[in-house]
Amino acid sequence: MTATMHPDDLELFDYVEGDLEEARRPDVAAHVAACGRCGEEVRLLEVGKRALREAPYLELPAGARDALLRGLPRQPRAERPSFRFTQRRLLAVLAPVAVVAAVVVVLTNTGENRSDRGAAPAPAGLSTQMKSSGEAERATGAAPPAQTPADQGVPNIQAAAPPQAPIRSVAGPAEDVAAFLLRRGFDARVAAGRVEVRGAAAAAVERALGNRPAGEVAVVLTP
Amino acid sequence: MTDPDAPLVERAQRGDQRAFGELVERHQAKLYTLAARTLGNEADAADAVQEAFLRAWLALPNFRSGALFSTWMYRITLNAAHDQRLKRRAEPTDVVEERPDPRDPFVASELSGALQAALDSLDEDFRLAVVLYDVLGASYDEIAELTGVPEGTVKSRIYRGRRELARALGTSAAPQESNGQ
Repeated sequence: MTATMHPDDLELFDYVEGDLEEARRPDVAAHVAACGRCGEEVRLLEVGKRALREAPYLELPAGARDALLRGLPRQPRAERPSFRFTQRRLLAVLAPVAVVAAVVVVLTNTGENRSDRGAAPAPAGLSTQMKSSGEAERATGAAPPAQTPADQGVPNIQAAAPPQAPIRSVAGPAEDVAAFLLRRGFDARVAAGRVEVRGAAAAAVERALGNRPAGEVAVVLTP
Repeated sequence: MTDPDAPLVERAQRGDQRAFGELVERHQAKLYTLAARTLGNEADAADAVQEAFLRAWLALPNFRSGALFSTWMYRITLNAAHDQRLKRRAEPTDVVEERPDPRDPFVASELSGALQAALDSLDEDFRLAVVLYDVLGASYDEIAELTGVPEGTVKSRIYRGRRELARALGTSAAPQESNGQ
Protein backbone atom coordinates (compact mmCIF):
# COMPACT_ATOMS: atom_id res chain seq x y z
CA MET A 1 0.00 0.00 0.00
CA THR A 2 1.29 3.45 -0.86
CA ALA A 3 0.67 6.64 1.03
CA THR A 4 -1.96 7.70 -1.51
CA MET A 5 -4.00 4.50 -1.18
CA HIS A 6 -5.84 5.46 1.96
CA PRO A 7 -8.02 2.88 3.66
CA ASP A 8 -11.66 3.85 3.47
CA ASP A 9 -13.57 5.03 6.53
CA LEU A 10 -14.99 1.62 7.33
CA GLU A 11 -11.56 0.01 7.22
CA LEU A 12 -10.15 2.66 9.51
CA PHE A 13 -13.10 2.21 11.84
CA ASP A 14 -12.63 -1.57 11.92
CA TYR A 15 -8.92 -1.01 12.48
CA VAL A 16 -9.62 1.15 15.53
CA GLU A 17 -12.18 -1.35 16.79
CA GLY A 18 -9.80 -4.27 16.30
CA ASP A 19 -12.28 -5.86 13.91
CA LEU A 20 -10.12 -5.70 10.79
CA GLU A 21 -9.25 -9.10 9.39
CA GLU A 22 -5.78 -10.24 10.33
CA ALA A 23 -4.52 -10.42 6.78
CA ARG A 24 -5.32 -6.78 6.18
CA ARG A 25 -4.24 -5.39 9.51
CA PRO A 26 -0.44 -5.09 8.91
CA ASP A 27 -0.98 -3.08 5.71
CA VAL A 28 -3.40 -0.67 7.35
CA ALA A 29 -1.18 -0.32 10.42
CA ALA A 30 1.82 0.48 8.23
CA HIS A 31 -0.22 3.00 6.28
CA VAL A 32 -1.58 4.73 9.37
CA ALA A 33 1.94 5.01 10.77
CA ALA A 34 3.22 6.61 7.59
CA CYS A 35 0.24 8.71 6.52
CA GLY A 36 -0.35 11.93 8.43
CA ARG A 37 -3.96 12.23 7.34
CA CYS A 38 -4.97 8.69 8.29
CA GLY A 39 -2.91 8.87 11.46
CA GLU A 40 -4.84 11.96 12.49
CA GLU A 41 -8.14 10.27 11.66
CA VAL A 42 -7.27 7.32 13.87
CA ARG A 43 -6.20 9.62 16.68
CA LEU A 44 -9.48 11.53 16.52
CA LEU A 45 -11.46 8.29 16.51
CA GLU A 46 -9.62 7.08 19.58
CA VAL A 47 -10.04 10.37 21.44
CA GLY A 48 -13.77 10.40 20.72
CA LYS A 49 -14.13 6.75 21.62
CA ARG A 50 -12.31 7.16 24.93
CA ALA A 51 -14.33 10.25 25.92
CA LEU A 52 -17.62 8.48 25.20
CA ARG A 53 -16.71 5.23 26.90
CA GLU A 54 -15.64 6.97 30.04
CA ALA A 55 -19.01 8.70 30.32
CA PRO A 56 -20.87 7.17 33.26
CA TYR A 57 -24.46 6.01 33.20
CA LEU A 58 -26.86 8.56 34.63
CA GLU A 59 -29.57 7.57 37.10
CA LEU A 60 -33.23 8.42 36.71
CA PRO A 61 -34.02 10.38 39.90
CA ALA A 62 -35.51 8.09 42.54
CA GLY A 63 -38.53 10.36 42.93
CA ALA A 64 -39.38 9.96 39.28
CA ARG A 65 -39.10 6.16 39.58
CA ASP A 66 -41.32 6.08 42.64
CA ALA A 67 -43.94 8.34 41.07
CA LEU A 68 -43.99 6.14 38.00
CA LEU A 69 -44.47 2.89 39.90
CA ARG A 70 -47.01 4.37 42.33
CA GLY A 71 -49.22 5.63 39.55
CA LEU A 72 -49.22 2.73 37.09
CA PRO A 73 -52.64 2.50 35.49
CA ARG A 74 -54.42 -0.79 34.94
CA GLN A 75 -53.08 -2.62 31.92
CA PRO A 76 -55.51 -2.92 29.01
CA ARG A 77 -56.61 -6.50 29.63
CA ALA A 78 -58.46 -6.75 26.35
CA GLU A 79 -55.16 -6.95 24.50
CA ARG A 80 -53.54 -9.46 26.82
CA PRO A 81 -52.89 -12.72 24.94
CA SER A 82 -53.96 -14.93 27.81
CA PHE A 83 -56.90 -12.68 28.59
CA ARG A 84 -58.80 -13.01 25.36
CA PHE A 85 -62.20 -13.05 27.02
CA THR A 86 -62.94 -9.37 26.56
CA GLN A 87 -66.12 -7.57 27.55
CA ARG A 88 -67.28 -7.57 23.97
CA ARG A 89 -66.65 -11.30 23.57
CA LEU A 90 -68.26 -11.97 26.90
CA LEU A 91 -71.34 -10.15 25.67
CA ALA A 92 -71.27 -12.02 22.37
CA VAL A 93 -71.16 -15.37 24.15
CA LEU A 94 -73.48 -14.72 27.05
CA ALA A 95 -76.14 -12.60 25.39
CA PRO A 96 -77.59 -15.47 23.32
CA VAL A 97 -77.43 -17.74 26.36
CA ALA A 98 -79.25 -15.16 28.39
CA VAL A 99 -81.92 -14.69 25.73
CA VAL A 100 -82.52 -18.43 25.48
CA ALA A 101 -82.61 -18.67 29.24
CA ALA A 102 -85.14 -15.89 29.44
CA VAL A 103 -87.36 -17.63 26.89
CA VAL A 104 -87.14 -20.83 28.88
CA VAL A 105 -88.07 -18.97 32.02
CA VAL A 106 -91.08 -17.39 30.36
CA LEU A 107 -92.21 -20.71 28.90
CA THR A 108 -91.70 -22.47 32.21
CA ASN A 109 -93.67 -19.87 34.05
CA THR A 110 -96.60 -20.38 31.75
CA GLY A 111 -96.67 -24.05 32.74
CA GLU A 112 -98.17 -25.90 35.71
CA ASN A 113 -95.24 -25.44 38.07
CA ARG A 114 -95.33 -21.63 38.07
CA SER A 115 -96.33 -21.60 41.74
CA ASP A 116 -93.23 -23.65 42.60
CA ARG A 117 -90.92 -20.85 41.62
CA GLY A 118 -90.28 -18.46 44.39
CA ALA A 119 -88.83 -15.66 42.36
CA ALA A 120 -90.52 -13.73 39.63
CA PRO A 121 -89.05 -14.35 36.19
CA ALA A 122 -86.66 -11.81 34.92
CA PRO A 123 -87.96 -9.73 32.05
CA ALA A 124 -86.40 -10.82 28.80
CA GLY A 125 -85.14 -7.33 28.14
CA LEU A 126 -82.92 -7.40 31.19
CA SER A 127 -81.27 -10.58 30.03
CA THR A 128 -79.96 -8.92 26.94
CA GLN A 129 -78.52 -6.22 29.12
CA MET A 130 -76.50 -8.84 30.98
CA LYS A 131 -78.15 -7.72 34.17
CA SER A 132 -79.51 -11.16 34.93
CA SER A 133 -77.21 -13.42 33.01
CA GLY A 134 -76.32 -15.34 36.17
CA GLU A 135 -79.96 -15.79 37.07
CA ALA A 136 -80.72 -16.89 33.55
CA GLU A 137 -78.04 -19.54 33.69
CA ARG A 138 -79.36 -20.81 36.98
CA ALA A 139 -82.87 -20.88 35.54
CA THR A 140 -81.76 -23.05 32.65
CA GLY A 141 -79.72 -25.25 34.91
CA ALA A 142 -76.75 -24.61 32.64
CA ALA A 143 -73.38 -24.52 34.27
CA PRO A 144 -71.74 -21.14 34.08
CA PRO A 145 -68.73 -20.90 31.79
CA ALA A 146 -65.58 -22.17 33.42
CA GLN A 147 -63.98 -19.20 35.09
CA THR A 148 -60.26 -18.84 35.08
CA PRO A 149 -58.33 -16.41 37.25
CA ALA A 150 -57.94 -14.35 34.11
CA ASP A 151 -61.67 -14.20 33.56
CA GLN A 152 -62.18 -13.14 37.12
CA GLY A 153 -60.20 -10.05 36.33
CA VAL A 154 -62.39 -9.04 33.40
CA PRO A 155 -64.13 -5.81 34.30
CA ASN A 156 -67.75 -6.39 35.21
CA ILE A 157 -70.26 -4.22 33.45
CA GLN A 158 -72.49 -4.21 36.52
CA ALA A 159 -69.63 -3.03 38.68
CA ALA A 160 -68.88 0.03 36.59
CA ALA A 161 -68.68 3.15 38.69
CA PRO A 162 -71.47 5.64 38.27
CA PRO A 163 -70.60 8.39 35.86
CA GLN A 164 -69.06 11.45 37.44
CA ALA A 165 -69.03 14.97 36.14
CA PRO A 166 -65.63 15.63 34.62
CA ILE A 167 -63.46 18.45 35.87
CA ARG A 168 -62.44 19.11 32.32
CA SER A 169 -62.46 17.35 28.98
CA VAL A 170 -59.10 17.73 27.32
CA ALA A 171 -57.35 16.62 24.18
CA GLY A 172 -56.15 13.02 24.32
CA PRO A 173 -55.07 10.37 24.03
CA ALA A 174 -56.12 9.45 27.54
CA GLU A 175 -52.78 7.73 28.27
CA ASP A 176 -50.98 10.98 27.52
CA VAL A 177 -53.27 12.95 29.82
CA ALA A 178 -52.77 10.41 32.62
CA ALA A 179 -49.02 10.46 32.11
CA PHE A 180 -49.07 14.25 32.12
CA LEU A 181 -50.88 14.32 35.47
CA LEU A 182 -48.75 11.50 36.82
CA ARG A 183 -45.62 13.49 36.21
CA ARG A 184 -47.14 16.32 38.16
CA GLY A 185 -47.61 14.13 41.18
CA PHE A 186 -51.25 13.09 40.80
CA ASP A 187 -52.46 9.54 41.14
CA ALA A 188 -53.94 9.46 37.66
CA ARG A 189 -54.95 6.45 35.62
CA VAL A 190 -56.95 5.62 32.54
CA ALA A 191 -60.25 3.84 33.09
CA ALA A 192 -62.97 3.30 30.53
CA GLY A 193 -61.45 5.87 28.22
CA ARG A 194 -61.39 8.64 30.77
CA VAL A 195 -58.74 9.74 33.22
CA GLU A 196 -59.44 9.19 36.89
CA VAL A 197 -57.51 11.20 39.46
CA ARG A 198 -57.59 9.81 42.96
CA GLY A 199 -57.60 11.80 46.14
CA ALA A 200 -56.93 15.17 44.58
CA ALA A 201 -58.64 18.53 44.79
CA ALA A 202 -60.45 19.61 41.67
CA ALA A 203 -58.77 23.01 41.78
CA ALA A 204 -55.30 21.43 41.90
CA VAL A 205 -56.05 19.18 38.95
CA GLU A 206 -57.57 22.08 37.09
CA ARG A 207 -54.46 24.13 37.74
CA ALA A 208 -52.20 21.29 36.59
CA LEU A 209 -54.16 20.88 33.38
CA GLY A 210 -53.50 24.56 32.77
CA ASN A 211 -54.11 25.58 29.22
CA ARG A 212 -54.19 22.06 27.83
CA PRO A 213 -56.55 22.21 24.86
CA ALA A 214 -60.12 20.97 25.19
CA GLY A 215 -60.87 17.56 23.76
CA GLU A 216 -62.56 14.23 24.19
CA VAL A 217 -60.85 12.85 27.30
CA ALA A 218 -62.86 13.42 30.47
CA VAL A 219 -60.81 13.99 33.62
CA VAL A 220 -62.75 12.96 36.74
CA LEU A 221 -61.99 12.78 40.45
CA THR A 222 -62.30 9.56 42.42
CA PRO A 223 -62.08 9.18 46.19
CA MET B 1 -32.01 -15.34 21.19
CA THR B 2 -32.65 -15.69 24.91
CA ASP B 3 -33.82 -12.53 26.54
CA PRO B 4 -32.56 -12.29 30.14
CA ASP B 5 -35.59 -10.14 30.90
CA ALA B 6 -38.09 -12.76 29.68
CA PRO B 7 -39.18 -14.09 33.11
CA LEU B 8 -39.84 -10.60 34.44
CA VAL B 9 -41.53 -9.55 31.21
CA GLU B 10 -43.89 -12.52 31.38
CA ARG B 11 -44.88 -11.66 34.92
CA ALA B 12 -45.32 -8.00 34.06
CA GLN B 13 -47.52 -8.99 31.13
CA ARG B 14 -49.84 -10.60 33.65
CA GLY B 15 -50.11 -7.31 35.50
CA ASP B 16 -47.40 -7.97 38.09
CA GLN B 17 -46.32 -4.47 39.07
CA ARG B 18 -43.47 -5.74 41.23
CA ALA B 19 -41.93 -7.51 38.24
CA PHE B 20 -42.34 -4.36 36.21
CA GLY B 21 -40.65 -2.44 39.01
CA GLU B 22 -37.66 -4.78 38.71
CA LEU B 23 -37.54 -4.14 34.97
CA VAL B 24 -37.62 -0.41 35.66
CA GLU B 25 -34.70 -0.75 38.10
CA ARG B 26 -32.78 -2.88 35.66
CA HIS B 27 -33.14 -0.54 32.68
CA GLN B 28 -33.67 2.94 34.06
CA ALA B 29 -30.02 3.99 34.01
CA LYS B 30 -29.45 3.02 30.38
CA LEU B 31 -32.70 4.57 29.22
CA TYR B 32 -32.21 7.73 31.22
CA THR B 33 -28.66 8.03 29.92
CA LEU B 34 -29.93 7.57 26.38
CA ALA B 35 -32.62 10.22 26.81
CA ALA B 36 -30.39 12.66 28.70
CA ARG B 37 -27.47 12.38 26.31
CA THR B 38 -29.64 12.73 23.21
CA LEU B 39 -31.96 15.45 24.57
CA GLY B 40 -29.27 17.28 26.52
CA ASN B 41 -31.73 18.15 29.27
CA GLU B 42 -32.24 16.09 32.38
CA ALA B 43 -35.77 17.29 33.18
CA ASP B 44 -36.96 16.42 29.69
CA ALA B 45 -35.07 13.14 29.88
CA ALA B 46 -36.80 12.22 33.15
CA ASP B 47 -40.18 13.00 31.61
CA ALA B 48 -39.35 11.00 28.50
CA VAL B 49 -38.21 7.94 30.46
CA GLN B 50 -41.25 8.03 32.74
CA GLU B 51 -43.43 8.30 29.68
CA ALA B 52 -41.56 5.45 28.01
CA PHE B 53 -42.03 3.12 30.96
CA LEU B 54 -45.69 4.07 31.17
CA ARG B 55 -46.16 3.32 27.47
CA ALA B 56 -44.29 0.06 27.90
CA TRP B 57 -46.50 -0.97 30.82
CA LEU B 58 -49.63 -0.28 28.79
CA ALA B 59 -48.25 -2.01 25.70
CA LEU B 60 -46.69 -5.01 27.46
CA PRO B 61 -49.69 -7.25 26.74
CA ASN B 62 -48.83 -6.82 23.06
CA PHE B 63 -45.10 -7.42 23.48
CA ARG B 64 -44.07 -10.67 21.88
CA SER B 65 -40.99 -12.73 22.49
CA GLY B 66 -38.64 -12.55 19.55
CA ALA B 67 -37.65 -8.99 20.25
CA LEU B 68 -35.38 -8.16 23.14
CA PHE B 69 -37.13 -6.19 25.84
CA SER B 70 -34.11 -3.87 26.06
CA THR B 71 -34.25 -3.06 22.34
CA TRP B 72 -37.98 -2.53 22.58
CA MET B 73 -37.43 -0.14 25.48
CA TYR B 74 -34.75 1.73 23.55
CA ARG B 75 -37.24 2.24 20.75
CA ILE B 76 -40.03 3.41 23.05
CA THR B 77 -37.64 5.75 24.85
CA LEU B 78 -36.41 7.28 21.60
CA ASN B 79 -40.01 7.84 20.52
CA ALA B 80 -40.88 9.38 23.88
CA ALA B 81 -37.78 11.57 23.71
CA HIS B 82 -38.79 12.71 20.26
CA ASP B 83 -42.28 13.56 21.51
CA GLN B 84 -40.78 15.33 24.49
CA ARG B 85 -38.65 17.47 22.21
CA LEU B 86 -41.74 18.45 20.21
CA LYS B 87 -43.74 19.16 23.37
CA ARG B 88 -40.97 21.30 24.77
CA ARG B 89 -40.95 23.39 21.62
CA ALA B 90 -44.74 23.77 21.70
CA GLU B 91 -45.26 24.50 25.39
CA PRO B 92 -45.68 28.07 26.58
CA THR B 93 -42.81 29.34 28.70
CA ASP B 94 -44.84 29.58 31.92
CA VAL B 95 -45.79 25.89 31.75
CA VAL B 96 -42.19 24.93 31.21
CA GLU B 97 -41.17 26.91 34.26
CA GLU B 98 -43.77 25.19 36.44
CA ARG B 99 -42.33 21.74 35.77
CA PRO B 100 -41.05 19.82 38.76
CA ASP B 101 -37.31 19.67 38.43
CA PRO B 102 -36.02 16.17 39.22
CA ARG B 103 -32.39 17.18 38.83
CA ASP B 104 -29.84 16.34 41.38
CA PRO B 105 -26.44 18.02 41.51
CA PHE B 106 -24.56 14.98 40.25
CA VAL B 107 -26.69 14.55 37.17
CA ALA B 108 -26.74 18.29 36.51
CA SER B 109 -22.96 18.40 36.53
CA GLU B 110 -22.77 15.51 34.10
CA LEU B 111 -24.96 17.22 31.56
CA SER B 112 -23.38 20.60 32.01
CA GLY B 113 -19.89 19.29 31.17
CA ALA B 114 -17.82 19.55 28.04
CA LEU B 115 -18.78 16.10 26.82
CA GLN B 116 -22.47 17.01 26.67
CA ALA B 117 -21.70 20.29 24.97
CA ALA B 118 -19.71 18.36 22.37
CA LEU B 119 -22.50 15.82 21.95
CA ASP B 120 -25.04 18.61 21.55
CA SER B 121 -22.99 20.01 18.70
CA LEU B 122 -23.22 16.78 16.69
CA ASP B 123 -25.68 15.99 13.96
CA GLU B 124 -28.60 14.13 15.57
CA ASP B 125 -27.89 10.87 13.70
CA PHE B 126 -24.24 10.89 14.72
CA ARG B 127 -25.09 11.71 18.32
CA LEU B 128 -27.56 8.86 18.56
CA ALA B 129 -25.09 6.41 16.99
CA VAL B 130 -22.22 7.20 19.35
CA VAL B 131 -24.44 7.31 22.43
CA LEU B 132 -25.92 3.91 21.61
CA TYR B 133 -22.63 2.30 20.62
CA ASP B 134 -19.98 3.86 22.80
CA VAL B 135 -21.89 5.01 25.87
CA LEU B 136 -24.50 2.26 26.11
CA GLY B 137 -22.68 -0.59 24.38
CA ALA B 138 -25.42 -1.44 21.88
CA SER B 139 -24.46 -3.71 19.00
CA TYR B 140 -24.34 -2.71 15.33
CA ASP B 141 -27.36 -4.97 14.75
CA GLU B 142 -29.34 -3.31 17.47
CA ILE B 143 -28.50 0.20 16.29
CA ALA B 144 -29.32 -0.72 12.70
CA GLU B 145 -32.69 -2.04 13.84
CA LEU B 146 -33.41 1.03 15.93
CA THR B 147 -32.38 3.57 13.34
CA GLY B 148 -33.51 1.72 10.21
CA VAL B 149 -30.19 1.96 8.38
CA PRO B 150 -27.70 -0.73 7.28
CA GLU B 151 -24.79 -1.71 9.51
CA GLY B 152 -22.31 0.02 7.22
CA THR B 153 -24.17 3.28 7.73
CA VAL B 154 -24.19 2.67 11.48
CA LYS B 155 -20.39 2.31 11.46
CA SER B 156 -20.02 5.36 9.30
CA ARG B 157 -22.14 7.41 11.71
CA ILE B 158 -20.14 6.23 14.70
CA TYR B 159 -16.92 7.05 12.85
CA ARG B 160 -18.05 10.56 11.97
CA GLY B 161 -19.68 11.11 15.34
CA ARG B 162 -16.48 10.23 17.21
CA ARG B 163 -14.37 12.35 14.91
CA GLU B 164 -16.63 15.40 15.24
CA LEU B 165 -16.90 14.89 18.97
CA ALA B 166 -13.13 14.79 19.35
CA ARG B 167 -12.81 17.99 17.34
CA ALA B 168 -15.51 19.65 19.44
CA LEU B 169 -13.76 18.64 22.63
CA GLY B 170 -10.51 20.01 21.38
CA THR B 171 -8.13 17.26 20.48
CA SER B 172 -5.38 18.50 22.76
CA ALA B 173 -7.63 18.15 25.83
CA ALA B 174 -7.47 14.99 27.81
CA PRO B 175 -10.80 13.20 27.34
CA GLN B 176 -11.13 12.65 31.09
CA GLU B 177 -11.57 16.39 31.49
CA SER B 178 -14.51 16.32 29.16
CA ASN B 179 -16.44 14.06 31.48
CA GLY B 180 -15.89 16.07 34.55
CA GLN B 181 -14.06 13.12 36.06
